[in-house]
Amino acid sequence: MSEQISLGDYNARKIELLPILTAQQLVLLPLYFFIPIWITLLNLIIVSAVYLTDVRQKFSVHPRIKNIITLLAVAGILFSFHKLTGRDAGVALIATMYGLKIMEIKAQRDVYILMLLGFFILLAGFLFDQSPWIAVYQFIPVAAILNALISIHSLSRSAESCAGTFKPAGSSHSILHYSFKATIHQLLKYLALSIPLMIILFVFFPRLAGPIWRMPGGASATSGISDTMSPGDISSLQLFDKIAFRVKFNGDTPNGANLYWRTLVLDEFDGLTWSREKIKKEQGIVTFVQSNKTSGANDNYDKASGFYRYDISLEKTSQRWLTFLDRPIDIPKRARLFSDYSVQTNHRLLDRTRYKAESQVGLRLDGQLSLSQREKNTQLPEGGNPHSIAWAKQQRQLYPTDKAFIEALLLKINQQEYFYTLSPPIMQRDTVDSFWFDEQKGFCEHYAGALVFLARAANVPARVVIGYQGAEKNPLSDYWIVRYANAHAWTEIWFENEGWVRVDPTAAIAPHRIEKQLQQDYSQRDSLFGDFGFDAVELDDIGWLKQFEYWMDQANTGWNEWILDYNQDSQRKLFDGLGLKNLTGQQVAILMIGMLAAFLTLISVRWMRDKQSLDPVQASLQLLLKKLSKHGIELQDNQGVNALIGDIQQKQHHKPTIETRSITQLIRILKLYSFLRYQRQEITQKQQNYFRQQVKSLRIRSYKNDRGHIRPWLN
Amino acid sequence: MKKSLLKAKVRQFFGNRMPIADTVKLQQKSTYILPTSAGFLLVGIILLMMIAATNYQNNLAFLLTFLILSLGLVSILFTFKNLQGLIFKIGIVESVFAAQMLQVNIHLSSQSKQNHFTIGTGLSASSVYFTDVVRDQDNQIIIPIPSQHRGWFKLPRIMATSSFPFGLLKVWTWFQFASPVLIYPKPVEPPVKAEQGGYDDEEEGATKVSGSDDLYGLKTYQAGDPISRIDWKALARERGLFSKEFVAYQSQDLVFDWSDFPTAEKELRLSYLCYLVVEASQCHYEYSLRLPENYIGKDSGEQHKKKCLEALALFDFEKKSEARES
Repeated sequence: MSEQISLGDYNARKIELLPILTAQQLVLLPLYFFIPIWITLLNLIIVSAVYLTDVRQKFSVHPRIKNIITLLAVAGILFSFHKLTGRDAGVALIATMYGLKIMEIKAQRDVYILMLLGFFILLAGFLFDQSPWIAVYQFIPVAAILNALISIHSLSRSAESCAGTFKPAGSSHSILHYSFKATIHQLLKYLALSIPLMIILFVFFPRLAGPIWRMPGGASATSGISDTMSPGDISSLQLFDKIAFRVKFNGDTPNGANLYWRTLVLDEFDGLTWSREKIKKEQGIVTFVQSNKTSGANDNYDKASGFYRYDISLEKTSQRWLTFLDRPIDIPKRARLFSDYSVQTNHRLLDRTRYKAESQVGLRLDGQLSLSQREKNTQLPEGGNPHSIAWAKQQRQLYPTDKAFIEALLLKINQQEYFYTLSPPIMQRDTVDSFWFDEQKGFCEHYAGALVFLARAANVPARVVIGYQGAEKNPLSDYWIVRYANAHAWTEIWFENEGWVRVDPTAAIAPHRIEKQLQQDYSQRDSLFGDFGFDAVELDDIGWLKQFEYWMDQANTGWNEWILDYNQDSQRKLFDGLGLKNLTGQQVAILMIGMLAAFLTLISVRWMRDKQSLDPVQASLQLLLKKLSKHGIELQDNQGVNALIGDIQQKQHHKPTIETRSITQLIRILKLYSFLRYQRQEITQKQQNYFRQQVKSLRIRSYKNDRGHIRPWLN
Repeated sequence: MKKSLLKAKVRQFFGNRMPIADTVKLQQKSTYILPTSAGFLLVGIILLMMIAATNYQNNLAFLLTFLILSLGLVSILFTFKNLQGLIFKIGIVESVFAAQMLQVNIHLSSQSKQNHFTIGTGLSASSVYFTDVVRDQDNQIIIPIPSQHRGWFKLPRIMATSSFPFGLLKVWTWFQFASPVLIYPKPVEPPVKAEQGGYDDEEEGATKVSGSDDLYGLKTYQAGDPISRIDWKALARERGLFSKEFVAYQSQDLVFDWSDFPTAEKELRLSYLCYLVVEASQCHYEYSLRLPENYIGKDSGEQHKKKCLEALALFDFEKKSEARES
């Protein structure tokens, strides 16, 4: 029966590698999607080699070979990334090192280092992906690591591979063998008890407002519109279904014709690319916005005046520009509004950003244009597009006003063979000429660029505006989604007495000349000349796929809002909501520790009670024995109850210590116990209760007392 | 001096909490817990993770960090629980001669309805023996303990330890079995030239005769024959019940007398006598033992040997008990 392992044998056991390898690979799995494929392959080859050699004998690699592999891997990373720092190269490096570390598993200590470092490696995965899936997935490698730690600590799992004198002796020994199911059950128990603690920590752990030091952000393939526009920039964005931002209107929502989301104004053209002139800080910043808002605050807050208040949750852009409904009148405090009504923050937006804003759709901009502004907005690059310049100048003569001239241009787009296509022909030199006169096929960049060019050629102030157009309402919730596919470029033309007026030339294209695959998106744009209205998806009409998409997006929003965006502010708001206003960080910490301690105590107290509830009959017997011990009667080790009865009777005969009536009762109870213990059937609930009640009601009176009663009677 | 006083106080403090009984139930108040080096490594890694999470303002990283931290906290309970509710009960311990190893048999069982894993039991952290404790089952472990002096030997304190499940924390407790174990004196061969002539003659005479074999022959068993003399091998072969017949070869009675070695010191005398008893018993001689205030009459066999050895072990022992304590 005895099965024992001395400390020396215990430490010399061969380490079972399979749980360790499994945990290690599960930890690395999420990273395999983000690191170069050759690192993945290298890791898999090494882990297979380690496992296959381990099955046959104790695994060992010559240290020189280890060093060579490591050096080659580092050289490979250097070759792939041209550096070893930065997020991507750094993660590739630690993933490689972590993969190679498996070659060094010799003692328990190495297992600890490998497994515990695994937690840190898991964290690196979150730098790439923060979806709910990866968050759920993390429990699997964590459980695998715990499993590996248990495996190096349990005698059963390693009994077979135990070195030295110890050999498992047949089937009847006291080393427990785990089944797979029992292991899973145990791991789930550990995790289930940890999760409430994790939630307490997550909610209450005092957070810093910002990072300790800024990390260089990783390069992102797509991050919305940038601050320049060349042909193809925006149309390439339109291929992405990725969400640019979400909007929640507080109150009225604008109609489709007004869903223009302004991000940037581009007023410089070099013949190919539109860009933004760098505005000097003092000159550019608009300061009258606040007064503008307060003047119209109380009386004009109705739909007619076109005021809209909303919250925007802008996805990471890695730029400094914020997007607003055209045109913003109230912006977040931390941002600056420029005179062209583009808004900049003081730092790059490396995370999803939420902000409140207010816009007025019909806000009049720049009723008067200064000479320098007029000059800037009629400027064209020297040389290039001669045909267009001459044509525009000549056309302008035909119309009485600037406005009539622009309208004529739009009519030309509408009436003539102008196509809206995702794949316009390549126009290399004199892009406006070749677009406007020859190809007549293009995308919003082409139309907006050409219109501004022609207007400027005719000395009409004009500029390009880029941003997004349209929005899709999530019918399951009250917010709107704007995607990269909504990226758009339009123009603003300055008219006398009207200021800057939004003109969208692509809206003038006749619907039948729009490339078929684009029609759906395009149809959301209000046509200047057609009358198909704004198209919201009908709730009853949406297919299950779309519904699922909406549902997912809603879940995702919740995820973003409650998990990913949970920060110092949300923490404070939550505490305020709980009625815990003005808590200091210290108080929050104390509260947190208190809750943790309370939870842990709760678990351990429950366990203590568990322990007590042995066997009801046994427990009752313990109670009985406790009563007896006061009268000097003890159940000796290895003594049965029947023997005890004999003892008591004998003692009573020779030197009585207990009153006779008590003895009779006591012996009856002991016999009852003996009967219950040795009867054939299971002890029923009723019997248990009866026995307990009998024990409880027993009052043992000592013989001395008895005699005390008797003595006066004798006398 | 102060240091030793403090040490004594600390010892007293821990000693007070240390359960001393023949059946020891591990209780919370006598259990200690500390992180292992792996535990400290985990603390370091958690700190590192916390810094990374704060720096990247990454809430999933925070969640993971807190999960690991919570697992660490919960593992305190689990490690603790693995040792709680264990019952250590001392089993049969065979008496040995002083300076020999006692094989202390300990029964481990579970008071709670749970299994306990990888429980180490031993005299110190560096000499533990591991076993699992299965509930509703008697789990035995044998730990070797060096015996020190003859007489009633109080077993040293024993450590029970565990770092299951994750090895991040080590929990341990000390306990002591109350019942002392009887240790016989260390047998020491007496010098060949003994002072008493009688001894010499007997020894020579005996060797002469018993040179060939101690066993004279077999005779059919008769009621009253000592059980130790039954020829079990013959019985096993179903030949019938026989008693081994030994012949008392010695010309005179063997009397091992305290006064045989007047020059030797007391403990050494006991050792000599012990040696003689063991030797004589091995040769199945009949012998008697004479000690001051104690005489054990002529007899042979295991029972007689035990009686003699016990007498030797406990000779003059009560007076020595004070010295034993220190």
